[in-house]
Amino acid sequence: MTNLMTVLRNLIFYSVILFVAIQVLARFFDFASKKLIKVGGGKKKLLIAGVGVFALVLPLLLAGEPYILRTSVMVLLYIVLALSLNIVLGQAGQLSLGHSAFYALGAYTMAILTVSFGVNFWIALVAGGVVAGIFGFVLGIPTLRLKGDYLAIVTVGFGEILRLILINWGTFTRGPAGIPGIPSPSFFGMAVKGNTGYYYIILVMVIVTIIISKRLEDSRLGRGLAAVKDDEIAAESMGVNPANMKILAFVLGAVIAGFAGGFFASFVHYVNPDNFTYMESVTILTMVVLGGLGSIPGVIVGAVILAILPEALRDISTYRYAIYGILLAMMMIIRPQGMISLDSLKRRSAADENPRSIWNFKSFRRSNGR
Amino acid sequence: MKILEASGISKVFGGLTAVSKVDFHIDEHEIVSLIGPNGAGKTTFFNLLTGIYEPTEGRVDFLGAELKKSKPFEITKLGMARTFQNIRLFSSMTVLENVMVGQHCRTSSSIFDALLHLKRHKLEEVRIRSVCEEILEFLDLTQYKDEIAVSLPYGIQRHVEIARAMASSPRLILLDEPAAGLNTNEKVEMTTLIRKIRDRGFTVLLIEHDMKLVMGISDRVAVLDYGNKIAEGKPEEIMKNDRVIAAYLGKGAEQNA
Repeated sequence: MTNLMTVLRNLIFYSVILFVAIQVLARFFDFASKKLIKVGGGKKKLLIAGVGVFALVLPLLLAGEPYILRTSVMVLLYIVLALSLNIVLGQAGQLSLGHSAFYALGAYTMAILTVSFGVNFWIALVAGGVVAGIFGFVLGIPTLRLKGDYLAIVTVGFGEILRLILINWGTFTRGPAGIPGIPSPSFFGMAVKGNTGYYYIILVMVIVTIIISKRLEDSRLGRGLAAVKDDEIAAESMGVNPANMKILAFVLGAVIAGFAGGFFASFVHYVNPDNFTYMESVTILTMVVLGGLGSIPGVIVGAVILAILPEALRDISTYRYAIYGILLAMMMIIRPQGMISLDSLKRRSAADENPRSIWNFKSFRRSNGR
Repeated sequence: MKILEASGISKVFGGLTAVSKVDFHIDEHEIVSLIGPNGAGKTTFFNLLTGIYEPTEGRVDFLGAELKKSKPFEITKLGMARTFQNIRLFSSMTVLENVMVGQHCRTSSSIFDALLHLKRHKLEEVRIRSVCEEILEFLDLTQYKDEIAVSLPYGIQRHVEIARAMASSPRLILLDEPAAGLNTNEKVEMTTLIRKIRDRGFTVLLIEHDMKLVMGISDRVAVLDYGNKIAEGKPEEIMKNDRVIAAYLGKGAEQNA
């Protein structure tokens, strides 16, 4: 009984801390967004270059800190995963709770191909993406008729079925024991040793994923995805085929998650079904929601915060998923648009293309009012 | 030239006949209005034309070909675009982006073109943008192009929806109560706008309750009541038609219009 009371007391305590943290972060990101509106194109490039240089030299700075470097690799990996889910959930608006299945497919493809068949890392990485993509397509088809909650249930089922197959198909996946001894990659004959090599591989994957997300967003297909997300009937009436859009989102999200899975398998040299539970999907989902659905910088921020958080809070790791749950619920109540919302980004990019456009509109309205 | 022809189309929901054996056609460059009391089946009729519902019986021909089980997006591609009675703009998008969605079915860049920034994608993006900016200019919406569409005043949103429909380069535009909820000034603007659209070469089918607007701009008016077409003809004829007056206009309509 006292135990229960302690748990309850702790949960309430963490809730209060989360509440304050969300408020503080929200203020901070609002403030930062507003500041960024005033930043011109040149300075913005400088800022991006600065972040890029920092990311490039980070392993040198962390030469004596393998633990922090390893955490950095995991943070980058989660950025890729969160961005891949963001294509499905943020850009196309399809609630998928089985995203870890695609991640698992990539990881197991890497594990089986490299360990049992001695395939090269890079080929196995691409194969992982392809296999995940095929399953993304397969999952995409039955979900075309489903929306919202029903879709979510099917995707949960898909994730669970896949995990159960991994556990029970012993001859192929070695069941719960998992597959150890996944080799490190080599790059033009040089073996990638240690965390630094992996860091640069995943950094490239992050950059490529950001470019893919951004280019998709700015294309006719990206607008089609957003149209389906906002209003499927209107989208269909405007000549957008919602079925194609949804399948595109599922396949693309799955391919990227598959790549991330392949990387993960090689990075930790060992995979087992416990790495790819439903909770993993929820973790990725929480990152996307915390950061801001559909907003690329937001999702990156969400992934960074939630990938570091468990490392920082090792002492209370038992409460990890409780905290995720409370966090999701609180975000929905306090700040449903996420830390850096898509809306605020739109206003920003509108403002820096033509700095006076918003002002013009306001002055127009004002003069109209008089 | 007949651009659209519906022959004996009906739609039955369970035991309710929402549209019953309606014959109807639209000639090119016409403004045709569909009027009738609430629940007369006007919007259902619209949905039958645009492929959202499938007719229980009868057929619809558009540009000389039968629309048989065509999906709404296929019909849009054939050249029919619509607006909605309760505005359905894309809420996360700016005005320009909303209109750019209209060009979706007129472009064909694939995902690879977009991700690799191939020439086809770039040229298409430039074209989409210029087509849409031209439409916004035409409808005097340029000043709003970077605003989030749903944050704009209601009247402007109606115009944006029409811009979005125009962006799919249709032959026929269907407007579902474009003047609903607008004030007197805005209704006058809407009337001018519909004429402007027609003069640009589009054909317009209109559902509307505002008799002043309907009678002022329509070449032809069709009246639905309980799913049946009870009259069709020039505005003047419709206003004198006894059945229409009994069912819909009511006494004193002539003075009002």
